[in-house]
Amino acid sequence: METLLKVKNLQKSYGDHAVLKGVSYEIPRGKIIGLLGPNGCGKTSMIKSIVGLINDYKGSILINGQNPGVESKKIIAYLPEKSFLAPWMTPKSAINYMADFYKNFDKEKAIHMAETFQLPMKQKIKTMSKGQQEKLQLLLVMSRKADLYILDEPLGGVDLVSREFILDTIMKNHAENSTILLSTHLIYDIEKVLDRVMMIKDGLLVVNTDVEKITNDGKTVEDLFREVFRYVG
Amino acid sequence: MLGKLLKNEFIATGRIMGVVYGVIGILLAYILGSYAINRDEATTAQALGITVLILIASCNIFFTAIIMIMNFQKSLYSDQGYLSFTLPVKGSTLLHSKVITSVVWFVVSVLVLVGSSVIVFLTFKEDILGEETYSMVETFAPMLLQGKSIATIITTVLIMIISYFIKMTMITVELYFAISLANTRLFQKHYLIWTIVFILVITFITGQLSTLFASNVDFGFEVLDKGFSLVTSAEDRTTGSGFVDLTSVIISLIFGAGFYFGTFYVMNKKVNIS
Repeated sequence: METLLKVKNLQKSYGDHAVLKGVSYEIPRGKIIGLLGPNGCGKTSMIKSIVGLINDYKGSILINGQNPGVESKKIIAYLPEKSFLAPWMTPKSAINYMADFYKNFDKEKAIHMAETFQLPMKQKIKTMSKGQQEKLQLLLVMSRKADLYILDEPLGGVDLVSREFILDTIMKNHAENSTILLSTHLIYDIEKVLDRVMMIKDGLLVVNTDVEKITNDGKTVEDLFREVFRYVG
Repeated sequence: MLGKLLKNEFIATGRIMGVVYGVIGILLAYILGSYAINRDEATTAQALGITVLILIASCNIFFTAIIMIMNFQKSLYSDQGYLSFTLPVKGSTLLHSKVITSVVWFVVSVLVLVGSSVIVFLTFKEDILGEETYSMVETFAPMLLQGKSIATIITTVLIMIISYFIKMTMITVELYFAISLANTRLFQKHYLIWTIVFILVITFITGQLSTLFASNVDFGFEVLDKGFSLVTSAEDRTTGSGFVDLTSVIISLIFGAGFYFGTFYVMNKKVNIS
């Protein structure tokens, strides 16, 4: 199976504090991968290194055979935890902005999704509710025909109904044969859609296995997560 | 991609700058309109309008700097940086778009100040200066240009414009360097305070160095009646003639290049948006 993302011995420190201590893995095309771990385990630092937001890491990252840069940014659709749009923007101007920069951005699909989500196209983002803002950001990312979708905690801080809506939107709208790297600590919600899970603990990749293998062992992803992180609910 | 970045930069900054220029435009229209109706003498309302116009146009240069600083900080180093830095553009292109936008707005702000002042002065010249002073200016002003060929005057003005343009660019990248430095991990927590500290420190150092060089190195052109003469030492200068100083321009170019590469390095290697 063709490798889309190859990470080798990735290390990242903030001063004396090492957050990634030599992480290596390969991700093939067409898979949905859960990047799991508690807050502060290094998930976001790893994602930031892949998308080009952190450059002072050690090790190597190859996306479709290339280092993070202009070419990799063309094929990665990234949804950060933060609200990345300027508050004066409207859904309409945000859609135009994305269409300006990404050739693989499907403007018609974005407009259609905005209508489906009942987003007011001319309302300023700063006056929209948090839920509306999140929907807008999600549709901007999912309207791209990307090779790799990287979604950092898309389910965090929202209620159960919204989580189902977000997950449904992701599953229905990602490009064919694309890979989704989904970072979360809410395992229960995403377990059913994952092909593979990676678990990060104290800056090390401690689990990197297919969900099928976990279920064949008679466990759920959540069981394994509890085992690894010794969490008793 | 630079064109698209510039388009969006001007949209982002133009919203606020547009309001300022709208106000200036309305004031100017009022002053000129009221003058067209009543040409006899300047009214109190016109005088107040002129004062406010010149005040706004003057403050606008400082206001432009604040807007450019805020735009740079917000679009790159706040949450919006998650979008800016993941666009499929080179880091240098991103920086170019910011510098170009900023310099354009600075140039526009100075042009508007000079333009408004000239228009107001030419319209109300006698009211502003008084008849006697104006008549004196009218007599002596042409003497400054007396004997100078048109080519000399145009070249001098062009050199001054280019020199101003270079200095504006230097100030812009200096501000960007200070902001970028203040957003590195060590200073990030109190970036606003550090931005101000870095701007003050950098301005002080560059100011001292510029003065040191400018007072010790005489390099430029002396404006003669028909053409220019290269000046490389104090002895080459003639008393009373015009002098176009190139030392400060070269110093600005060197500092500008340093700040540009410094900003580029910090922005791409040292900043981690939190």
